[in-house]
Amino acid sequence: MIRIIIFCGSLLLSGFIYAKSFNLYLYIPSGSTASTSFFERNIFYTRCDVQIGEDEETRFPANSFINVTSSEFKKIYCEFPGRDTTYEFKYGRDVINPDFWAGTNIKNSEFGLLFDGTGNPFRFDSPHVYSESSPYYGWWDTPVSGSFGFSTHSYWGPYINDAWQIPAAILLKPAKIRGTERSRGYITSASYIPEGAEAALLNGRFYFYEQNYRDDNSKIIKPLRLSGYYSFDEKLSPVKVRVTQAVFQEGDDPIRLVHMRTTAVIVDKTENLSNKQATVKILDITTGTENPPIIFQTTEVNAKPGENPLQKIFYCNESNKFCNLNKDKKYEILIGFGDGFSEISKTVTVKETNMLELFFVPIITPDRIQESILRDKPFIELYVANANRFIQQVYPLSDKGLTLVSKYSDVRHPESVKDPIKGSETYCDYKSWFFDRSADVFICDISKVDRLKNKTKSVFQRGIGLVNPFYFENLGLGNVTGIRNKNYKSALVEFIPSETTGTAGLTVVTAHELGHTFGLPGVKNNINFNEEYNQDPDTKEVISSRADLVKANGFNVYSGAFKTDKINFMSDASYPSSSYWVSNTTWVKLQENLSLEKDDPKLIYVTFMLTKTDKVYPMHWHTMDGFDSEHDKGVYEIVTIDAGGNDIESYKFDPEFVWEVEGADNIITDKTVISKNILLSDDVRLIEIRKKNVGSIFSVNPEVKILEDYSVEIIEQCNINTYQKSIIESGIHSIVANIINKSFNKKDLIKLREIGTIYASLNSKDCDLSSSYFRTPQEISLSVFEQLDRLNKIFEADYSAHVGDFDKDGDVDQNDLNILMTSRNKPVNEENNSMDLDGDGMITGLDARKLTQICTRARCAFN
Amino acid sequence: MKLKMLSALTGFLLFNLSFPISAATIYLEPSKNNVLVNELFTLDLKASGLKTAASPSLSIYDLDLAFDPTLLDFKNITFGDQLDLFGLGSFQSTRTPSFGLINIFELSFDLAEDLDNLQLGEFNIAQFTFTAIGTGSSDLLLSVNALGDSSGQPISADIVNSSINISPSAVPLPGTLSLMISGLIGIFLLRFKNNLLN
Repeated sequence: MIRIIIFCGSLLLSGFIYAKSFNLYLYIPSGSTASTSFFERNIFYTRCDVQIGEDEETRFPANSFINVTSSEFKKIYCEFPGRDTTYEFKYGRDVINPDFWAGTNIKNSEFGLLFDGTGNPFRFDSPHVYSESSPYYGWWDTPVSGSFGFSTHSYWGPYINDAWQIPAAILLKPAKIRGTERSRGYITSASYIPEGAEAALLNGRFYFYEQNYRDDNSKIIKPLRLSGYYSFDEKLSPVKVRVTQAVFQEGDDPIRLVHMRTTAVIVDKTENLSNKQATVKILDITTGTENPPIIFQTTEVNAKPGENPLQKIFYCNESNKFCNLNKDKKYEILIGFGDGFSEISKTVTVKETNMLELFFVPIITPDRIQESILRDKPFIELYVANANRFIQQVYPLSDKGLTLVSKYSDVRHPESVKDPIKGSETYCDYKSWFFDRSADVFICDISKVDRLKNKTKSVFQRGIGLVNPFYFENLGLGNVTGIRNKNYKSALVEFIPSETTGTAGLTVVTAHELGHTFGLPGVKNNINFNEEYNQDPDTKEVISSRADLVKANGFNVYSGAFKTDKINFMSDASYPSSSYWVSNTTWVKLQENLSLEKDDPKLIYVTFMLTKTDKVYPMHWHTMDGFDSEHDKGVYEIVTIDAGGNDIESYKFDPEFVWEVEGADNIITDKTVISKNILLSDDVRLIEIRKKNVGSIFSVNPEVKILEDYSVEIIEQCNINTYQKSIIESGIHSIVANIINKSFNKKDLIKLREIGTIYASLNSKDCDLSSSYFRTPQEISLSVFEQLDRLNKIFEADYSAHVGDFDKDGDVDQNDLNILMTSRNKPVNEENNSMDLDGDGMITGLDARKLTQICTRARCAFN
Repeated sequence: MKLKMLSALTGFLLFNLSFPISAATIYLEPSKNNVLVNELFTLDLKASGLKTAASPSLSIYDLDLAFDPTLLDFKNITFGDQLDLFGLGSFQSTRTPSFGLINIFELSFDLAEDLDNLQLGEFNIAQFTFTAIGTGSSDLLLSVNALGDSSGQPISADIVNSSINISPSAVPLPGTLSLMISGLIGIFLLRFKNNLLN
């Protein structure tokens, strides 16, 4: 029998629990794995002996709690059937076995109150994924949000090799709920936290911040969200490390097209440490300490000139391997100053909870895509890569296959607005999609694409892509789809080429979809230019009676065509063997059209996020000048509202593109693109979507609030067109939009000072796409990014500047020092807990000295 | 009366603090080892073993000085300047938590870099002033509550205590002498008077 002795209670490390008064509860469950009850199913034969005080070891029966206090607790031995190794851990600072949780029998363990033996106090980890199939089902959810701290108070071992590795749960500071000491209740299957239970244990730093949770059958009614703030994050830890997988518009993506979802590590330092070098390590400890931890990166967090000295963002790349930070893995974040890492250490488990899928869908407009870009192969490749990432996110695929994507994998080519013939439709359902993980791309097998007609019900028309003759001619045909819909901006969808698709017809298809983009209807199959297409009597050029020359900016794609030429490229693409006609003139015209700056199809563009929790987070609006006002009916309407709360404009729209999920309280949509005849003027302070007979279903503030000055660094070689200084200096927000079209070819910093809306549009000409192009050092607090950051974070080890602010007046000064001094040379207790900055269990002058180092002002001066 | 020499004093006491980073010596040095009753004397509290213009430096000390309160009367204390290198002030505290015990505390507000770069390796931490009030020998014993380097990390230190010997004064009190003389004069005069009468 292997013996595993679970230590509980030692906190040597900084020893800060050592002298603290705390209670430790060890729940020792037992049962048969054959049982169907929650505990019996999941917990095993366990026996623990506990030595309390100087007494002999006392055996506690299974399914019991051991309640000991720091002063009397000595050690706990637990034995687990089938184990043959014994571990012993004593409480206190004398016996430390740094390998105790690295033992072969308890590796990967996740249970609380572990002392890591490296000078750091706890290793607290969240339970594994909460799901139907996990042992935590019926338990509680512990989302990773807010300050990380300890996000749970229960610790269970992982389920490995069909067995639970650590059949014990340890509680620190059990919650006191509504004045009732339910110190053990909530861990048992028979007890539950009553509805309305609120935070418990102020000084123990375990808080419940949501309520309630299970019924009498121990079935979760609502996940308990528990967040622990033990004193750890109140230590001298003025560094915040966040790791996110948000969607970033960063460096390599010169045009705000598809926002790439990537992983970034954001390190914030408090101001008084701005000159300090912080070092961050992220260790992958999933494999346990038997194997050396994987150090993802050792980073000196020093800002470069022009960067925010208090923040550093590390985007994942090959060298730092941050991209490998994955959900459901366990990491340890180490933060230190100077040479050491002993100051801060946290272990976090990445969880999927509340992860969002969030996208920006690109819009092709004349001011965004210019002809030079179309000919920029690297850029096109980049764009396509981004687009594919976007598609991946729109159509998430699990590792197990396509089961998750069926309802998302609908891409269509809807009918054309005002098109008497009804445009063709490309329907690429989930059966046609596959994900090539080796290439990290999402592929629509065009050979399986159905081409249907009159299918306009889908709400999934979202992809808007880019075609480039250079690209296609060299890389083969992609699935090029023109989207033309009454509520959609005409645009192109481009997906990566399929192996099953040759290059034949590439140009034609592209031209065809571009034609749609600019208002041309499709025509019947295999129609040659005939009498339906008038000819110029002089030039014999075809003049389409159907071409929407207005929308097409006067562009007649048939220009240069003769009816004796080959098949009209706007005809159905059902005859790939036939020769379609696209003249060089057409290409030029198409490109020119793309680069026109006037009379672009108008729209207001709304992006929503679909969360896995069935919540809607309206997040961002794009607007384009002009509008298409042909649809003023519908049960939904978009209303712009001014600062006074007055409606500015209202536009009703067809609900066709907004969908609801059964059972959801609120509207849920992935994203909606709506043509709208309003300009998002500076007067607009709020945009609402209202539903008839319901009222506002959600609203979004279109403003991008720039809370602080920030700098946008324009990389030198990117040939960013200049902007009007006066505009910048006056704080006009839309500087980015004004950057284009002017010659500007040097590095510069743009200061933004006011609240406004940013329209991002950049010309990537001559830009080295491998370098950063457009940096927003994140001092800017964009509402969108804030949401991204908040909702997409994987985990966050938040060490904020609350350390030392004992009087909670927002700073750290001599007042706080005086408070600390009142506890000098006293052991830590619940009241002075936070003053033990060095975690040695005593409030000493050493803590005072540490406090002086984090004072807000020099020499801890008063404000 | 038996004298004790400072150099032969108490020996070293090792303080093992958590994570000591360096060894220093904190010692007591009285201005005199022998004083007379009613004599004023000073007692220097000194630090050595630190590195001049290098780490470690001392940023905080919290020390208790124990003495025999029946023999010594604590008058005052003067803090040194090495924890306040620029004269801008430090956090200083003197308490007498019990009879015969003085707690002195000083916390530097100077930057760690300044302390490391500018502080001397050996310096006076503080100077106590006592008055001897009784005869005998009083140990002067230091105990450390905290010693910290510039970043607040504990410093281990060797502690050298001291003692003071107090002797009675060798000079009679003038009032007694005059009384005796007056008495003698009185006796003399009385005898002279008696002789005259006889």
